[in-house]
Order: sequence, then C-alpha cells, then structure tokens
Amino acid sequence: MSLLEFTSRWPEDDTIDERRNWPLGATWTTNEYERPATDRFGDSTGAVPRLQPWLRSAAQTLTRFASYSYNWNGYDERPIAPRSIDRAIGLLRILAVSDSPSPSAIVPLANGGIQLEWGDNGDVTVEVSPSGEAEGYHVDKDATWQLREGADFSQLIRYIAQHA
Amino acid sequence: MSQDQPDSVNDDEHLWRRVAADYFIPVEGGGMRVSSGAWKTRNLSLDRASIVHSLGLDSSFTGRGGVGVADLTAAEYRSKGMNPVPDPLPDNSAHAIVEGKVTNSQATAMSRWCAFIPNPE
Repeated sequence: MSLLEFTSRWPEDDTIDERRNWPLGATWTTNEYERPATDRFGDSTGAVPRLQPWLRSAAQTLTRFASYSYNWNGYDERPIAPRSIDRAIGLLRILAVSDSPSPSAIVPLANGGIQLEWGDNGDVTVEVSPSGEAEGYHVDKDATWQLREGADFSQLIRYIAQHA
Repeated sequence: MSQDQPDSVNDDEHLWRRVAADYFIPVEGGGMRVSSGAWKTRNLSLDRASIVHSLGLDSSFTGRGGVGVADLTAAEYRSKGMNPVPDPLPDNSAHAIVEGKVTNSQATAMSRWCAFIPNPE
C-alpha cells in the first residue's frame, strides 16, 4: 500500500478495527508493517498492536513533502525521494505500535531524505536517506547506529522513551 | 549586487542561513527551535551579515522564502570544525560557504546555539 493510499484510507474518526486494532481498511504488506506488538523496550508482548493517533498527522506531513521539487528552500535541495518517505512511514508504524510518543519534528533534508526527531531539542533523530537507508543518532551520546529493515529497534525505542 | 570584501571571514562576523518553515519547530510548553536539519547538507551556504548590511539590506535578504534566518558567528562554526570562507556569487557578494558534509554533531550544535531572526512582517 502506498503512502497516499495509507493516508486516504485512514478513517476520519480514527476508528480502530476491533479484530486487528488497525485502522479500518488498512492492510500491511511488508515486514515492518506486520510486526507484533512490542512494549516500550521493543520486546514482544503477544498483544494485538494498537496504532498511536499521531501516526495520521505524521503521514500527512510526509505526504506534503512528496510535492517538494528541486530547490525547495533555495539552496539547491533535491526533491524529497519517495523511497525515503515510504521508509519513514514504515519506521513510524513500528514505533506507533510500541507505545512511543509522537516525533517532535519531521523535516525534509537537502539531499532528498527525511529526518525524524524526538525530544524538545531533537535529542534523538533518525535520518532516512533518499534510498531508504535509516540511521539513528543520539545527541548526548554522539552515537549513530543503522536501522535496517527487520532489525531490532529496542535501542531506538529506549532512547525515545528517555527523551519523551 | 557587488561589494569589495576581505578574503577571509572574521571570527566575530555574523553569518545567516535561511530557515524554511519546516525547520521552525514548536517546543512543548511554548517557544520554538530550529531543527538541525536546516544545516544538514554538503557545502553549507551562508550570508555574511556585515556585507548584507553594507548594501543597505537586512536579514530578509537571506530569509526571503523562509520564516527567517539562523544567526551564528564564524567563531561558533569554527569551534565545531567548520570553516566559513568567502564565496561571492554574481548575484550575492555576501555569500560564504562551509565546504564538505555537515555532521550530525555539527548540525546539532548549530541548531542549539543559533539565534533566530524572524522575517519582517
């Protein structure tokens, strides 16, 4: 399902399917979207996942970036790459079923990628490249780590919880 | 736009970078901050405030199209290993540049240290 399909099919009242606890009409087609519910540390709880309401506004923000063309801020920026948008929404879907808080910012990057931020000072960030590769960064630790598809996200979830 | 200028950027010079609306982030409890994403690029473009002023212009020269400018001194950039150098353009003699890719650590420091100057109403 494309990002546009995802946002257009989200029910206006955020109605949740009782059987799956997904938004009505939503289906998930990749591993990132079909992960089981996790607790705040990323461990499986065996429970049915429940999406956070903030995912809808996050998806709308990302949809807006899809229209950004070359030089969108006057510094020769590249258009925002569809692959980076798709990967960003995939990552947010994982976090949305892990009881994680909303990102404090979702911003476009000059290289055509996306940056997700948590904490009042952007203390934890995830940078998604135009090709969809994601890298986490913890400001205070000055540490980066790769977020490959299907990887363990417990470290990211833990850092986000610390800065919520 | 033309203006004679020195061949280096002094430490105490103020340097401006346009802040797009997407980078101006509300903070829980009030206030705003500038996202580190505003600095994440290769060959960072800046404008030298002293030259902009000498031409009778203000920060809106740099901030046009955005919501304002992020203001930092050359010394602040250099303290994180970034070296602004003059790079005058045919239509912008105030232009300066930091060559190379800006790192996460550098972009974060600039976002935390900068002063934000909003565009005039």
